[in-house]
Amino acid sequence: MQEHPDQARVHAALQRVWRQVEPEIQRRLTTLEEAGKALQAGPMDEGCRHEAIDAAHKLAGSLGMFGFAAASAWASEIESLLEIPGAISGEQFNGFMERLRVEVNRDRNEQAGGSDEGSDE
Amino acid sequence: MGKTVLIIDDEADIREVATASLQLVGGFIVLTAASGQHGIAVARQEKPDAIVLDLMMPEMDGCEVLLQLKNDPEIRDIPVVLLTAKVQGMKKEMAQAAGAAGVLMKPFDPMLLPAQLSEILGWADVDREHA
Repeated sequence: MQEHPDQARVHAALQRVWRQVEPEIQRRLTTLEEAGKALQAGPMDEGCRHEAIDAAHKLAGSLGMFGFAAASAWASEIESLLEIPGAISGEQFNGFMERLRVEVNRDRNEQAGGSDEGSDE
Repeated sequence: MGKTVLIIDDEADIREVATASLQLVGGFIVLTAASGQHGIAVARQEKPDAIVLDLMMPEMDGCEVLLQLKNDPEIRDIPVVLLTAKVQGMKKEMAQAAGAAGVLMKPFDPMLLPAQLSEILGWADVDREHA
């Protein structure tokens, strides 16, 4: 199906912004993964917890704009659980993180596979 | 001329996507600011038709920015719409009590954002053909 010109222009803008912000998105995911490792080793210190909450909050707020709706929802879930100290074990946290990673990678693959604009690098 | 919207958000990706959405889909003129302080300065200088304000920002958060905007007689009548990643119970209620026109949720759909903003603001002349 052909996109309306406005939609195509917004889509192109989204792809451009995504290419710019992807390293930062990956950094936020890494921050959460590090938090998961810390949580598995013992209670998470407050600094680490707040950093993880911030990363999850930003992922929840931005991933959905780029079409990563499920990943955004998982990030939001992680943020909510982190806000209550001790509400989540390291194992549970890593399970959520795994789902978040799967969703981001699945959506990335779908976007790459579905792109017919030759913009993939 | 289209309406002018000022976006105040510390996150560059949110500013860029919202700008593309409001310009390309809504036909608005868009100004941006990456901090509350800069946003207040731009609002005073440019007097936009509306302000989209992120609630959760470092240093000066959205509630504080809103209070400063509403305490300035020169710009207090500019409608402010809050942008937030989650309904932050008390904060949201406090902000609305402080004079916010409404709330937009993150993540937003770039194709729908202009129509959602226009609905909150009661702007009838928005291009809704893709809403």
